[in-house]
Amino acid sequence: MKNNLERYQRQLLLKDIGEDGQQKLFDSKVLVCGAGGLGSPALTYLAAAGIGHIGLCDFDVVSPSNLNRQILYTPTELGKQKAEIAKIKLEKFNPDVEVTIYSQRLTEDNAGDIFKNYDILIDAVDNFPDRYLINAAAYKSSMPLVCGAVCEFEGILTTIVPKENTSCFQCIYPFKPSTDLTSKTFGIFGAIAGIIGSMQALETIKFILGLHCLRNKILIFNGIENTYRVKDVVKRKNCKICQY
Amino acid sequence: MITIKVNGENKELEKSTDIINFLKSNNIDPIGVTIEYNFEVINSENIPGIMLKDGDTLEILRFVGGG
Repeated sequence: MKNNLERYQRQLLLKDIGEDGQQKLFDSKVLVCGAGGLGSPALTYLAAAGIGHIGLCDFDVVSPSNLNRQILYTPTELGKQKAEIAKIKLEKFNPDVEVTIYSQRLTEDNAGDIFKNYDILIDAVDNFPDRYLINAAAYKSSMPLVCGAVCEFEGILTTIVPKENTSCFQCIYPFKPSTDLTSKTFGIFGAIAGIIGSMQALETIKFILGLHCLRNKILIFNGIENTYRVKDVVKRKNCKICQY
Repeated sequence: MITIKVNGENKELEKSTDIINFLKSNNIDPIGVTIEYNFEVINSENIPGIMLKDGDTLEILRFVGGG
């Protein structure tokens, strides 16, 4: 057990964590793909919880339109690499945490090599093509994956566990969207990204601790109506990703 | 009158209608959603012509992919 336990005192009191659970968090390695609207809160709460090793994959630089939701960055950092800034801030926020950065675009060729260094992945990217890529690579690498996504005032969350042969992201969206559905075209309200990104951190921590997770289920959050809905995700018979 | 289940909740329709018209009458753009009809996700190309019947189940999930 590391020395600086006082900062974890409030979570050490939780019966589902305690010293044994905290040690699991210290010993765990989590890779976050995307350090934007979802990644910012997810990374912050992973670091706050004392995840021992955080990997961060993002090739982008900070731009003004990021600042309504990407709370790791400030106007003085415009044009700088997100991954580099995030590493400095997260390690300063919690010196117990070691952050490794990958300032490169995730591809089919490099995903497996990066993923193999981690226990669990978080999909916090901002577009469908990267989500399909991460889902496929996670399944291929047998890596658990916590998917979160947002659009306007809505958000979704699900957990994929290839070793348990759960349904995957492509079971939810087997037919790719026919139009360019990025945050540039539909907009995102910052607090929604904050909610779903925080839930991704929570889901990841629960998985590490062996607690209940959204396996074969998807949570759908509507921020306008203040509703949560959890729906079953049926594994598709002919899914090209999780049935082979 | 028919009753269908939409996103887990019962909904009454005056008469049978196809999925496209149902979406339009609820101000839902078919391009922006994925449709699960009676527990099977259907390709958008196959949606036209599917008539909703009494007891059908429809799940409408927006394409949510941003971050």
